[in-house]
Amino acid sequence: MDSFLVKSAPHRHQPDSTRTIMADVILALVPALVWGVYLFGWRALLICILSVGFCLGFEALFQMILRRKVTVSDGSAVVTGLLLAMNFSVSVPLWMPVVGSFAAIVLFKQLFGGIGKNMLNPVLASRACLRLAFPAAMTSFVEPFSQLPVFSIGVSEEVLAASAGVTPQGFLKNGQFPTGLSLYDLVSGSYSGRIGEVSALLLAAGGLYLLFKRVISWHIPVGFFASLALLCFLFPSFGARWEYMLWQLFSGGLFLIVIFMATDPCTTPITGTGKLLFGFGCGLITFCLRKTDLSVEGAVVAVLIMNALSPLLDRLRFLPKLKKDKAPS
Amino acid sequence: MALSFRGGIALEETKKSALLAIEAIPAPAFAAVPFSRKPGERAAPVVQPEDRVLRGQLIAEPETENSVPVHAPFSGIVKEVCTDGNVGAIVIENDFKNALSESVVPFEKPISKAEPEELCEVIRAAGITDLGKSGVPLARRLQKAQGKARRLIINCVESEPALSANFRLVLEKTQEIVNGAKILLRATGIEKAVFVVEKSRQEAAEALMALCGASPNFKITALKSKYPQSADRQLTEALAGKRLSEGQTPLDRGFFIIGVESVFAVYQAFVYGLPVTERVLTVGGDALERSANLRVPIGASFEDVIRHLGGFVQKPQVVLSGGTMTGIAEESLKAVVGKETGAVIALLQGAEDREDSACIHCGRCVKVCPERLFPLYIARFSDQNQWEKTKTWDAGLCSECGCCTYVCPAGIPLLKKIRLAKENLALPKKGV
Repeated sequence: MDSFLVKSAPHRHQPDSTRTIMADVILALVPALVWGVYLFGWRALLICILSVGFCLGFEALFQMILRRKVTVSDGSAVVTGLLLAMNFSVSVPLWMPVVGSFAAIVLFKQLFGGIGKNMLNPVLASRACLRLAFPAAMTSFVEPFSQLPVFSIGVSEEVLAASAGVTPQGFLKNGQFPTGLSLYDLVSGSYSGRIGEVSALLLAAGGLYLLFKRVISWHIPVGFFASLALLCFLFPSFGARWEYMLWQLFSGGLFLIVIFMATDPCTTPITGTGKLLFGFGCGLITFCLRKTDLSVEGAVVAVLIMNALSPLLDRLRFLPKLKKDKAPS
Repeated sequence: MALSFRGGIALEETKKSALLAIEAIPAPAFAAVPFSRKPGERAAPVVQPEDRVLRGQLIAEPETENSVPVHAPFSGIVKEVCTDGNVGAIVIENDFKNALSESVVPFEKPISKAEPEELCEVIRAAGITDLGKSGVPLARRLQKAQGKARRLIINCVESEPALSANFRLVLEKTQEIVNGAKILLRATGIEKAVFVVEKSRQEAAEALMALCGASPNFKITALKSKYPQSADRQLTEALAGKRLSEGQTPLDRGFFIIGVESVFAVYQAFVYGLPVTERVLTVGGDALERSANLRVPIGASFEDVIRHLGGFVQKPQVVLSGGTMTGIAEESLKAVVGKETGAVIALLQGAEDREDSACIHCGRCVKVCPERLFPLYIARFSDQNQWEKTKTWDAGLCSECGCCTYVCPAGIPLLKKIRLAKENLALPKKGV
């Protein structure tokens, strides 16, 4: 007798999968990445390859050791690796991507239970850790087209000194507008900084692509940029309001962080309202940290703090109900 | 912008069954007419094996107010009466004489002079339910709506994407449906009726407009084609512009919603005296050579339906009773067409439960949920057997439309998990 498969409805499914989402993110990252390699040389590409390779490797290894299903094929480790590389200065020693990959994949992703269960954005958390552990290596930057040796593990002091550059955010911390740079340079992306953060234009293009593909929604970027812009405009530390606001928006790798890391679905709220609040919170904390003399990366810490708050933001609608359930009856 | 509700999904039609006129299938040799045996909706058979029955003759009568009478779809000999399980069946062998029962007589009185109670009685006796949706008797719903309803909403929206039976019915039986609506207006005491059609099925709106566009009692409203627009709560949200809150029904907005098929059945019950013994359904899917809109006797097997379309191109993996979003996968072609069967779909490849990644928290399920739930959290707590928590996250409000599962990029069978939670919540508590 003909017997057919008995299964639960629905019986059709749209074609997107976790893999296609990750592929979209990778595609959106490529332009800014290519620009970074063009600006900082082949060493930048090597750092990328190292961090993607070790992210994949650590994920597979960890899952094999724990006898879990190996899920490297979903592509999320590739995204983590690429983003991690984009958060490094080209002058970091070559073991840095390895340590960074370990922190991102093992400490901040797999130990929390793997994809979707991590509380903090793995890349930003890893970057914050490295920043605390290796402050010198993580805060030295070189001028574009510095021709660093590609394969040497570390970059010698002399070479670094010869090509050292200061990031726009470094200048702003010192209470002045960057010298020898114009806002135009910031938009076009030719200044010293981390591999992936320099071209605001290409990052924004990637962001628009993700918006179009509905991988990210507008809430977080709009909330983040709008609140930071407004605060900078209202309370400039020095100089003209507009100028101060624009310098703040285009520096400090804000585009990379806002578009690609603050919108990470795993660590952000789900509802539109929650996302907007998340964005506002990020902008506010970034502004406060940038105003202080502390030499911390404002946007990174802001996103991490809001990451930790996002489960709460999801439950806002349910708070009255959750409270009622908790109450002794 | 056409009116609609928030959430849901817009789906492309794969096959244009909307262009296909309704065709009747030849009378099958046997029919296994189903009747409810569920506690509270039970019907009792009134025929014995070897009895001769005529078309339209009562073969099972309701035991409670929530069950409906069942009638023979053609004349013949009763072969078997089966009362096991939740659905009983009366198997009738066709004698191909198609002799009409003497109980099939048109309603004599002019409708305008008849009392609403009399009209309701005819509707009750004809075994009309909320055809294609649920088994609730229409007469029972009419009774409950007495005095509360201010608008008769005639739902011509397909219950699922890719179906077109309702549309074809409106197009081909426009006059009958308008007349049926008039009878219902009288039976409910409502003054105004609204025909709700899909924006993409403009011809239906035009046909209705031509017949009753000038009448002040009738209004035609086009809604955006979106799933699940046909569901009562979403229909009300689109029409009233405000969604129903928890526990409210369309009646709280003064709406009495009735499917267009039931309206047609009402017309037939009054003008010809015919009870519900057949229905129109869309048959399709990629395992079939062609799609069709068919008029099928209640009790015909899926095999009869498929045979009429020339059989399968290739053996399908799943055969559905209903559409692709909510249809029930049947084990064999012995399944029969009942009053609630809206479609028969045969697919070469059903969607599988891929579950190829854990939830990445993308929030698409929340975006499409027409009841504005958080399917991902309900599913998570369901996985952890934390049934009380699924209740906190309103698992009970889920209408099981399947949108969340359809969009989930991780391929998680969310609906399956939510159903599990609902089942567990309905269980009596341990130790009580």
